[in-house]
Amino acid sequence: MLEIKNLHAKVDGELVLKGVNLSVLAGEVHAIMGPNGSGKSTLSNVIAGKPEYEITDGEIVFDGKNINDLVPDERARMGIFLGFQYPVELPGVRFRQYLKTAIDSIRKYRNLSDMSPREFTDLYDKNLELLKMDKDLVKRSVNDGFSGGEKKRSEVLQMCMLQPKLAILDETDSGLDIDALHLVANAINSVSKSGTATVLVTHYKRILTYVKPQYVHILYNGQIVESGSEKLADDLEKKGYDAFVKKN
Amino acid sequence: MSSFVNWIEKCFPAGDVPGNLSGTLDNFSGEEWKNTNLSVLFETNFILPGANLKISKPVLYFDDFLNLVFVNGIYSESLSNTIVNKDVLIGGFSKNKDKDHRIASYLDQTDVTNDPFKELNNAINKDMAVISLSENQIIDKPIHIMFITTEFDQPVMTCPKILLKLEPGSSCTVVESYFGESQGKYLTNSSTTIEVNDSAKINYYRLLLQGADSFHLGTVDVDLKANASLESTFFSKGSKLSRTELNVLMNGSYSESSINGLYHTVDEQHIDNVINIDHLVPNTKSNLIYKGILEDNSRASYSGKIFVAQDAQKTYALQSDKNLILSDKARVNTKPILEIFADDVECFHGATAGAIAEDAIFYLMSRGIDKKSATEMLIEAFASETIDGINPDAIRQYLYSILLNSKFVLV
Amino acid sequence: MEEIVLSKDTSEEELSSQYKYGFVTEIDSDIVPKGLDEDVIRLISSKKEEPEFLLEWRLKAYRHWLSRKKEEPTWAKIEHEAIDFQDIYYYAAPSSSSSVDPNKTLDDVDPKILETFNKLGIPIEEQKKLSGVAVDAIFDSVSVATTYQKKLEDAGVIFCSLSEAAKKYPDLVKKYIGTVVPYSDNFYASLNSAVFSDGSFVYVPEGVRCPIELMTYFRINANETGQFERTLIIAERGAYVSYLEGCTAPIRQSNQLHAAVVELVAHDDAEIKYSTIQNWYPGDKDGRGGVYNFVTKRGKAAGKNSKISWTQVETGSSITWKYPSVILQGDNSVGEFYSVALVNNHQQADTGTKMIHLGKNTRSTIVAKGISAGHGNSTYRGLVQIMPGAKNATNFTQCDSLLIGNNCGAHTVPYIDVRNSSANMEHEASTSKVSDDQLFYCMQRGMSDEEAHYMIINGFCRSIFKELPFEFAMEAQQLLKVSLEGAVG
Repeated sequence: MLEIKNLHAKVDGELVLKGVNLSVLAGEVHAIMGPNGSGKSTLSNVIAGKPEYEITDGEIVFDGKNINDLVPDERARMGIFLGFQYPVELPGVRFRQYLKTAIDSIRKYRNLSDMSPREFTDLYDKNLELLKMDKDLVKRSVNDGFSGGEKKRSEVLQMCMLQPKLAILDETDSGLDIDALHLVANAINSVSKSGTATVLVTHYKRILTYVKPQYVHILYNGQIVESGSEKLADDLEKKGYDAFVKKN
Repeated sequence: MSSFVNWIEKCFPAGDVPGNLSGTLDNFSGEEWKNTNLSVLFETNFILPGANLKISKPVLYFDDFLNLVFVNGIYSESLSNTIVNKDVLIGGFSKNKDKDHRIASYLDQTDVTNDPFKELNNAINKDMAVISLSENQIIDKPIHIMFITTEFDQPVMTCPKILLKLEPGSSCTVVESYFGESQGKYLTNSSTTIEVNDSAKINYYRLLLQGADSFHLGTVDVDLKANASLESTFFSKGSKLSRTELNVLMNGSYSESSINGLYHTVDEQHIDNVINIDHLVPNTKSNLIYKGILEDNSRASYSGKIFVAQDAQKTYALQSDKNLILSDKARVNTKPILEIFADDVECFHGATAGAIAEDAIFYLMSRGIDKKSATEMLIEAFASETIDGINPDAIRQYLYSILLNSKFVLV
Repeated sequence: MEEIVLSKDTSEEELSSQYKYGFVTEIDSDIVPKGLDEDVIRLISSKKEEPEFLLEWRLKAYRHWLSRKKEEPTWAKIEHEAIDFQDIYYYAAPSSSSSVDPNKTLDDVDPKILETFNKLGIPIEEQKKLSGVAVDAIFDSVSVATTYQKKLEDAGVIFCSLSEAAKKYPDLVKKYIGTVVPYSDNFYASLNSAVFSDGSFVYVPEGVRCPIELMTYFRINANETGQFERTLIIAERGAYVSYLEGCTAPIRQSNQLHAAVVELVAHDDAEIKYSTIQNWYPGDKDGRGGVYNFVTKRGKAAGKNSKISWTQVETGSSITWKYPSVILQGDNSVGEFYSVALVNNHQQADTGTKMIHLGKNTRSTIVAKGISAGHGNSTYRGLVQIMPGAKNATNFTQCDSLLIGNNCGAHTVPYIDVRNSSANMEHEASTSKVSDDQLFYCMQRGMSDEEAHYMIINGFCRSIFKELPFEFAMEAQQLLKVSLEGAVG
C-alpha cells in the first residue's frame, strides 16, 4: 500500500527527514513514536504533499505508483488521508458542503457519480453517532471555534466519511479525554477492519492500548532507529528514548 | 484635475446652474477624499435625464415586498406600493408638490451642508423616497427602494434622496438598491438620512449593483437615539468609481449598530468606503466589519474612523477590514482609525490584506478537492460571513447568486 | 560671533522630583547669534571646519527649506504655537571645546561638563566609564568626548562625532549623507540638513561584529537653543552593531526645538539595532516649557538578508513627532519597530513608523504601545506599504493603547497600502483602560492602586523593554515609573 524508501526531505532549508524507510500493507496498523522535533509531523505532511516540504532524495510509492511529484488533492483522491495535528479553521466554509465536495471529488476519481444527498446524510448521521458528535456541526464552519478535542474528533469523522486506503493520524490522540479517546479508537479500529492501512503518529502509548498496532517504529532525528512489535512501545515507556538512541 | 465648479458649469448650460452650486467650494482636499480620484468623473459632462418611465419590471423585484421604484429619479406610482395614512408614510414624494408636514419638517434637517455633492443632491433631486413611521409602528414586509437608470444617448445624472424616520418603538427592514439598465456612463449621487428614535429598530441594506461604466457617490447619515438599533449591510459591486460615505452618530445610550460591508472589484474599478462612527454618549456599542475581494487592476480603499467622545464611557467599538487580493495589479488602501477621548472603553480594530491562506488551501486539497475549487470555496466562505447577516432570504440568495456567478481570476 | 555667558536663571529652576535631569550647567558658551540665514550656516560650517561639499549641501538644503517654508507639516495630531525660526540659537558650544580637534583628550573637557554627565549617570572619564558601552557625549551642538576609542579602533569600527568624521572620513560621509533622508524629504529634515550641529557617525566594516554597545548621549543645556542632531550609521556586508541614544535637557520655561535626522544603511547580511530612550524635558504639569522633538529617522535595509530594528521608549518632550522607518529594499530583509510612548500632563506624542516593502520575501514587525495619562494625547501613526515587486512580503502590526483617567486621548491611525497578491499584512489594535479585574487581582495581593497600575503597565510594555540592551531595559522601567507619578488616584 505505502512504500517509503530512503526518504530525505527539507523544510525551510533544513533537512528534517534523513533517510526514512517504511512499508505499510492494507489493514495493518503502524505506530510511529518519537520525541518532539524528530520529524514525525514532517513525515506526515510529506506523505500528504504539503507544498513547503521538499523531497531531496528517496521516494514515496503508494499503490505501486511514485507519488513524489503529485499535488495534494490527487494524493487524497488516490486514498491518502491525513488527520492533522493542528487542523486549520475555515471560517465561513460549511461543514456539510465541504465534506460533500471532498467525497464527490474522490468518487469522481474512482469513476463514481456524486453521492446522493440522502446517502450522504445517512453516512453522515451514522458517523456522527459513532463519534457521538453534535448534529449541529453541519451548520457550523469547518473547525471554526471548535475546541481542541472537537477538532480531533472532526478529523476522525472526516476519515470515516472519506474511507481512505491509507490513514495517517498525526497526534490525533492528544487533547482527548478518556471517553473521547475510546470513541476515536473505536472509529479507527472499524476503519482499519475495512482494510485501511493506518499509521498512528503519537507521543503516548495510551492510544495503543485501544488500537493495537502490528508494528511500532521509533523515529529519531529524521530516521527510523528501531522497529518492533507492540512490545516496543512498552519498552520505550520504561526506558525512554535515550536507550534506543544510544544503541545507534 | 478640473474642479467641481468647472464641472458643474460644463454640465449645466449658462444661467441654468441650479441652486447655489456655482458658489460651492471644492471641498475635497481632506483625508476623506484622498483616495477618490474624481478627475475621471470631472472629465465627463452629464445631463439631467428627461422623463423616461418605460421600464419593464426591474431585475430585482419581489412581489412580497413593499416596493418603491424610481426610474431616472422619478417615482413610478404604477410599479410601487404607496402607503399614506396618519401613522405610516411610505412612497415617493416631491418636495415641491407634496405638502405632508412629515416631509417638510424632515427636509429642514438635510438642507444645510458643506459637502458639494450633497449640495448637488439638494439642488437637483426630483422625487424623494420617504419612509416615516409613527410611534410603535412595525412594518413586517421588507421595503425595497430601487433606483434604476435607463439607457440614454448622453451620460445622465440623477440625485436620489432617501429619508427614513422611525419614531420611538417603530421598526422596519429597508433595502435600498441601485441598478442601471444602461451599459453607458451615468452618475448617481445619492443621499440617505436615517433617524432612529428611542427604542426603534431598522434593518438597512444598501446594494450597489450599477453598470461597469457608472459613477456612484453616496452618503448615508444615521442618527441613533437611546436604545435604538441599526443592523446594516453595504454591498458594492460594479461601477467604474463608487464612493460611499457612512456617518453614524451614536447619540443615545444603549444604542447599537452592527454594520457589515462587502466589496468586490474587477477590471479597472475603484471602490471607496469612508465610514465615521461617533460615540457621543455613554454605553453605546458598534460593530463594523468590512471585507473586500480585489481582482485585476482594481483598487479599493477603506477609511473607517471610530470616534469616542470624552463623555462616552463604557463604549464598545470594533472595526475590521479584511481584504483578499487575487491579482498582483490590484491595490488596497485601508485605514482603520481609532480616536478615543474616554478611558473606560473597549475599542479594537484589525485589518488584513493578502492572498488566501496557503494552509487552508492545503487542508482542502488534502481532502481531495482540487486547487481551483478549494480557492473558490474559500472566497465564498470569506464573503459568506457578510452575506449571511442579511435578513430577507430573497436578497441574501440573490447576492449569493451574483457572487457565485463571478469568475474569480485565480493566480 | 559673540561670546556670551548664560546667566543663572533661578526662576526656571523649579526642579521637580519628576524630572531629575532638569538642572542647568553653568558654563561659558560659544553661541552663534539668534536667527537663520546663509551667513549663519556658513559660520556653523566654518566653526566645524567642514569640507566644502558639506557647506554646499547645507546651503542647498537651506534654500529648499526656505522655498517650502509654508509647508510646515500640519497633519499630525499635535498642537503648538507657531515656531519663530528666527528666535532660536542654531549653534551653542561649550567655549572650551569649541574647536573640533581630533586629538583632543578628556583633559581638554571642561570639568563642569564631565560632572554634568556624571550627574546624568553617563560618566565619560576613563576610570569611571560604563563597562561594555562606548559613549559619545554630545553637549548642545558639539560632541565633547567619545569613550573606548582604542577598543573600537582595534576592531576596525569607526565611532566618532559626525563633525570629526566629516574631516577624517569625508569620502564616507559624502557617499552616504542624505542618501536615506534626502535634504528635501520634509520640512524639519530640510532644516536639519541646513543647520545640523553634531551627532554620531558609525561605520562597521565588512564582517565585523561591533564588540561593544555604542551609545550617544544628547544633552541640551543652553537656553532657547535648537539642537539639530544628525547621525549616520553604516553597516557593511555581514556587519552588526547595536546603538543606543539617550536624551535629556534642563527645565526651561520656554520650548526648545530638537529636530534630528538619523540615517541607517545596512548592506547584505548586516544588522543594525537602534534603541532610543528619549527623556527630553516634558514640560511642567501645566504644559509650560518642554522640548519639541521633531525627528526624522529612517533606515535602508539595502542589502539581501539585512535587518534594521528600531526600539524606542518615548517618555519625554512636550511634543514628539517621529516615525522611525525602514525601507526594505534587499530581498529577505527585515524591518522592526518596537515602541513605548507615554504621555502625561499636557504632553503630546504623534509617533509610529513606516515600513516600505520593495524587495522579495521582506518581513516587517511593528509593536507599538501607547500610554496616555493626565491631559496627554498619544497617537500611533504608521504606514505599511507593500509594493508590487515585494513578492511574499509579510507585515504584522500590533498597536495597543492604555488610557489612565478621563482627560487624555489615545488614537491610532494606520495607513495600509498593499499592491500585490502574495503579500500578507495583518494589523491589530486595541484601546482600553487598565482592566479592573487585573487591578483587583493585584490589589487583593496587597498592592496599592498605584503599584498595581505600575505593575500592569510595566507588563503591558514588557515585550518592548525586552528588545532593549539589559541595563537600559532597567532604566526604561524606572523612567516609566517616574513618568507615571501622579497619574493614578
